[in-house]
Amino acid sequence: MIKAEHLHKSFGDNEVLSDITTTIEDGEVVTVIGPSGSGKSTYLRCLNLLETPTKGKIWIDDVEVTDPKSDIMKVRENIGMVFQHFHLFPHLTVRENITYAPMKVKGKSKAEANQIADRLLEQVGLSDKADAYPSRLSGGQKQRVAIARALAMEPTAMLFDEPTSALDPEMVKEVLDVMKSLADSGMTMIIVTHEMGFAREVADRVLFLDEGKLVEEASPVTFFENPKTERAQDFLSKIL
Amino acid sequence: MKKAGFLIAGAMLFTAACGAEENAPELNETGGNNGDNNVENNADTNEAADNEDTDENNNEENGAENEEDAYEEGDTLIMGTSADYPPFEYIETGESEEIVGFDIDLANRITEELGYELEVEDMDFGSLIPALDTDRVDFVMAGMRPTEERRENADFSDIYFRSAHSIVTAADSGIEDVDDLEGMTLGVQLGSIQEGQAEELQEDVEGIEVETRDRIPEMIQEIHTNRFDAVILADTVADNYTDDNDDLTSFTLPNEAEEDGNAIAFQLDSQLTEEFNGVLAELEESGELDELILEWFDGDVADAAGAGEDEEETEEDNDAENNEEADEDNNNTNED
Amino acid sequence: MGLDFAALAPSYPFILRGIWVTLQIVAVAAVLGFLFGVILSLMKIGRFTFLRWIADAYTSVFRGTPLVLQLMIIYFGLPQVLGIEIAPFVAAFSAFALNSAAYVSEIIRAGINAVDQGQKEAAQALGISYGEMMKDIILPQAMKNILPALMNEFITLTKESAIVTTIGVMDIMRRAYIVGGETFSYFEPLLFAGFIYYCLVMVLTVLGRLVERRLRQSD
Repeated sequence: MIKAEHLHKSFGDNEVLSDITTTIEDGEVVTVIGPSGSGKSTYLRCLNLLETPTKGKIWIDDVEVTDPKSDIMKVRENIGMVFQHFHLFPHLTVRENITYAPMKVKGKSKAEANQIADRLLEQVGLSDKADAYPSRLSGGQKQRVAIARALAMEPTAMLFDEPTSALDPEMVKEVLDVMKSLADSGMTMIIVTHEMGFAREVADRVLFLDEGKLVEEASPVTFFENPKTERAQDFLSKIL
Repeated sequence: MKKAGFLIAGAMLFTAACGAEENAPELNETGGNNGDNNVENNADTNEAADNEDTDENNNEENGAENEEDAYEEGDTLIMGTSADYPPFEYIETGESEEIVGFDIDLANRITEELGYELEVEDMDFGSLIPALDTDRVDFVMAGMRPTEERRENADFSDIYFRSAHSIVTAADSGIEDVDDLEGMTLGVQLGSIQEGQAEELQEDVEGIEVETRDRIPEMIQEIHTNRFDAVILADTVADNYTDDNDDLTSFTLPNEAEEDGNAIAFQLDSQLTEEFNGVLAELEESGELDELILEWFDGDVADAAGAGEDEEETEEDNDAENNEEADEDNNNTNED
Repeated sequence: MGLDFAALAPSYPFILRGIWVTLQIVAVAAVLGFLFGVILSLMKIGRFTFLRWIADAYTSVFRGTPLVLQLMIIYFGLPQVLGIEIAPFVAAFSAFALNSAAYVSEIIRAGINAVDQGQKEAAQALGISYGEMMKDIILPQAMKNILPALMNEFITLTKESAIVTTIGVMDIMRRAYIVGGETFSYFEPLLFAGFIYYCLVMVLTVLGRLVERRLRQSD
């Protein structure tokens, strides 16, 4: 369970998030949508403290992670994150990208880590790329490796920050397919995305953010077919 | 005092002349006392060996305090030099890494006499006085002249090598003073101190043609063959040739600076200055110093240095060199 | 000007033996300077204002004063302050290491800053500690970018090492001076020394290219 309470985030005078309260239950798949600059990414990055909230509290499984005494590293271990621009480690091979954190952070042996890597690479369909460097991969392949890298830490939840936005259109599907099967396996997922079809198909719930505020929160069917707020209606009319 | 010394040393590196004056009085007290006290203290310690503990402790403490600046027999003295100035100090680079030369031999002779061990350390000429001032070396011999500026930062021994120059001519040449050299050919050893002297003469007297040779014996031969009318040599060397060759005569060039010569540099108020002067005086009296000078300045220094080697000339060399009492091969002199 | 290199022939080995001396000083100084430079650069990009201030002050002093002065202070001054003996060789590589660290720290700092911020976030998101992240993720990538600048620094170091002549370390340059003094021909030994330095720098350059190529294999 990931809970945010009265979350605020400002960069200088610019308030990016304003009083956001959400609760994501275990096994739930939640998509976060909204116009660009609405604070979607900042919200996501606050959840694993890549951004420090200006105000408000965040709990993960009953632990208040915004408490200065809490161990942020421990929190991050348990929450995987996938970035828009992949951020694979370019000087490491695909296998090393995946095995590095389990070995260094979780103290797994090289054999164990390799086993995990092999399993995950098979899961994302890239077993043949284990020894390649990231620069040899296509965008879609890179993102699938990035997902495998995050999964290697055996997280309880996964955050996706616009995972398909930097991809050529023909590669979007391969990444979404991986994410879909992950959702099917019961992983808790919070996904910031512009893929409305995917959001509708996979999500249990949709969060709609605009100008830093949580404007609407609903099931995908309700949200896409019968948005309650004017701003959501306006947004959907522009993109659908 | 240590800190002050350090700061001054730092400043000295840039402004060579400054600083020593503030430094001097302090050094004076401690340095001077240490030198004197030390002998007594040592004697005390020996005598007091069986005495009460307190006494012993006292003496030991005093001894420890004085140790830094005082020298005792058996100590190793570090001599700073700049080994690029033959024949005073140089390395026969074709053969070894060892620093040899007149200064080295003399230093060996003096320290041997005083019962010290000697270690020679090479460094840039400009670093020598700072090295002395900062206690990296105990004394400096590097063909160094005791100029006023240097005297502010170091003590100097008596002059041990006077660089007076003589003009040597054929006995029947009729050349009796500098003016007689007008229009003459003057020989000088390549790279020697006398080269500068020859240039000065050229400015003073019209029509002097200066020619160089690598070795002094060659130059003497050139007088015999009439190619040179005169040659210019260090006075000690010149005397040596004229004493031994009736057909040669010489006169000494007027020397402007009376104190023009080389001296050994010490730390200000070092006990060594006096000790070294004592031995220098002995060596001068016994003629050993002159012998050493002859050994290094008469004959083929250039040969030893490996420049302009010319095998055919060696027969003629024997004439000129038969007066050398020491071993002809300068290399060996360093070893004793 | 007539140059006679043949007359120097017996002295060439004497000068050549200085290569080993020069290389020893440069190698030790380069390694120590690099390690210290890394530490300084980490202080500069770190969170602690005080450490940052120290590192910046250090850099400004060592970049702002002549290397020869630093060498002199270490060789002549330090032994008096600390009451210890510092051998010429030790003084030489210490001075160069300390000086080089100032330059290296700036090079590395720039190199670290040039690494994509996303790399840091990715590492953080995986729960990787700051130290491990720097060591395994950020620095290796920074190295690739800064290698040419770093190589430049080592080349400069090699040539600048010639100032150890002032404290009497028998390096290439000092040996050239001594041969010049001995043979009364100053230019030839110096030109020969110059030729040796040039060769050393060429070797360094080639080595640098090889390392660079190796690091670029992931591209």
